[in-house]
Amino acid sequence: MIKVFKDPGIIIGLSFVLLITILGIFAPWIAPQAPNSQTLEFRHKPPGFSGKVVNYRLAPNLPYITIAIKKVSIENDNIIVTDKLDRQLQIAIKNLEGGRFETGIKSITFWLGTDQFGRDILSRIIHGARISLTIGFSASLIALVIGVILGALAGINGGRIDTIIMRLTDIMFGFPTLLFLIGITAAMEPSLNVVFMAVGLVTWPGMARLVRGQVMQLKHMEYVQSAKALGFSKTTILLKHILPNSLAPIIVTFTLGIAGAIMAEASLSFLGLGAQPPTPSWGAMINSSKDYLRIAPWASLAPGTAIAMAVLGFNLLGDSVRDLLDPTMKKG
Amino acid sequence: MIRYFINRLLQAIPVLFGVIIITFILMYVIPGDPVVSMVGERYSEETIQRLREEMHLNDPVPIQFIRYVGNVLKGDFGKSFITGEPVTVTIMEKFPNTMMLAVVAMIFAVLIGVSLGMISSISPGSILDRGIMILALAGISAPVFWVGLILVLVVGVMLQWLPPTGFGGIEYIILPALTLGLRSAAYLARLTRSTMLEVLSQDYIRTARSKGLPEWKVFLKHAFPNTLIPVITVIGTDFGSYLSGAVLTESIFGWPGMGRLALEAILKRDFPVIQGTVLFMAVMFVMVNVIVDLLYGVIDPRIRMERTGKQ
Repeated sequence: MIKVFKDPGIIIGLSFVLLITILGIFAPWIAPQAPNSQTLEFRHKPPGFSGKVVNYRLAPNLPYITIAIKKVSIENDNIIVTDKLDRQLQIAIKNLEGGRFETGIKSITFWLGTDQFGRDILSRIIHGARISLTIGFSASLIALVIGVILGALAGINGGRIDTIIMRLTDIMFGFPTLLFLIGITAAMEPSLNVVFMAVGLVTWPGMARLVRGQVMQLKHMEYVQSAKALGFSKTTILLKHILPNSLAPIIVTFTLGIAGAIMAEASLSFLGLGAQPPTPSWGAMINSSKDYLRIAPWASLAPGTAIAMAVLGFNLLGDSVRDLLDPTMKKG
Repeated sequence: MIRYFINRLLQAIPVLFGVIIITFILMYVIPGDPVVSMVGERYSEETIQRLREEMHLNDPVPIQFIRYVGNVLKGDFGKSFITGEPVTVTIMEKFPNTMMLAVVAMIFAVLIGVSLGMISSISPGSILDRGIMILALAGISAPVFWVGLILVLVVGVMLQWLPPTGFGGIEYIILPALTLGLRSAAYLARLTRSTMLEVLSQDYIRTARSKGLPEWKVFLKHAFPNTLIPVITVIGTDFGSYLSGAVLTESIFGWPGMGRLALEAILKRDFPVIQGTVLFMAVMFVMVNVIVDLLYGVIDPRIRMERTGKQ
């Protein structure tokens, strides 16, 4: 246990992963703004910018509108606000958000600035953590299920089944991953559901090879041989004796798979083949703000940093867990 | 030796066949009728039927597949729906740009990666070593498009040392090549360091030192040649994907290569171009991997023996 906390890799990795997980799970409560709430007067404001806004709606059934204001005064049941163009506007207090002056008029600080629609980048990044995490986890899970099943089938049976499955992984490896993903997502309507399934369907061969190797290695161990001699079925041996003992490398590969899937989702969304606007996916955020790089670099750089941190976190965690569990497993 | 070569070449055949099957299937799963997307919705049913007949789209699927394989083997990928130009011609126009970018990126990656790895291995555990290794890990985790945007912003827009995007003289290739090569450089720095550390602890290095050879000579003459293996490894894992179109890098820098060709074809639903570029890139990828494996065999006899033994 002491060894765990001496390794800076695992500490940094774990804290990044925890941070992203917490942000992702509690996004609606942590994020200062709604991810898609626009304040058009606050387009391209730099990080740390503060401004006063009023949140109101024209009638009880309509959605809230946010506008930036310069001045505000109260008059009986109404408030008079002056907007950025010095236009006066009268709003009934009951139509303000929360129905009170204090909840309707707010001063907002945009800690990471705003994008071209005046949306709060920090809030979008926090909501984006949820997307990255979900996609990363579910894609890696699909790869895990397919990889373990096919890898175990190949390893335990050997012979022709093994050859067929291994040739299949060769073909899958024959395609460059991103190109394969682009091909699949192009064949469907772009959406996040397509992305996580595609990533899972493309990245399983790594897991399959790993599991096959583990099974082939473990099936000659004495305890497996004796289970076989006792007449246990292949399935029982596999599930009760072989897989539990290969859990460590499988978990490591799963963790590294999450990092890869987060990167893949970001890349596809960056190319416009993944999450569609206004979804606050990190890759899609960069895609929509890259054209404004000169005037609002923060709008692209902040989500990019988030991606880098998430990928680094899962990579570090996977790498250090591998080194801890088995020092001989170090790669390279 | 020859047996290893032949084995490795034969192994590539089922993979290439699989690639052809997948690109063929791709054409069928992409939503929308290829003929409709070619002529537009305004044409009469008759015209569409006539075109379907001309393009042999009404034939049974197995026959279409055989015809497709035949055309591919002849190097005929059909014509673009949009420009009407043969796909092969378009690919041959764009491929040299991608090749150029890939080669320059790999040169950068090897120069930067090997030198950082060497520096790191001089005094393992030092601040310099740790700094380089953290940098390398960051380089592996950083998204390509993010690095590209930072380079565009800092070098291209703020410092104005190099043109931020575009295509032309030598000054245009530096930023995209750095972006593309960064991951390989980072990976190579890590591999070079671990190779060097392993080599430096071996007996023949001790012998070299004990006979009084200056440290730099031990480093450069005896240890350095060993870094060739990690260099080949990284070229093997990465060069194929560089050649198969650096889609992300090309789209950031507006580089007119294979990656952008494929992406634009996908966005415009230009079926023959999608099929042709995907197939071409996958074939390049497989071929690079075969060549690299053969190179391994030339350099390291142990690999040759091991792999022939397995088959």
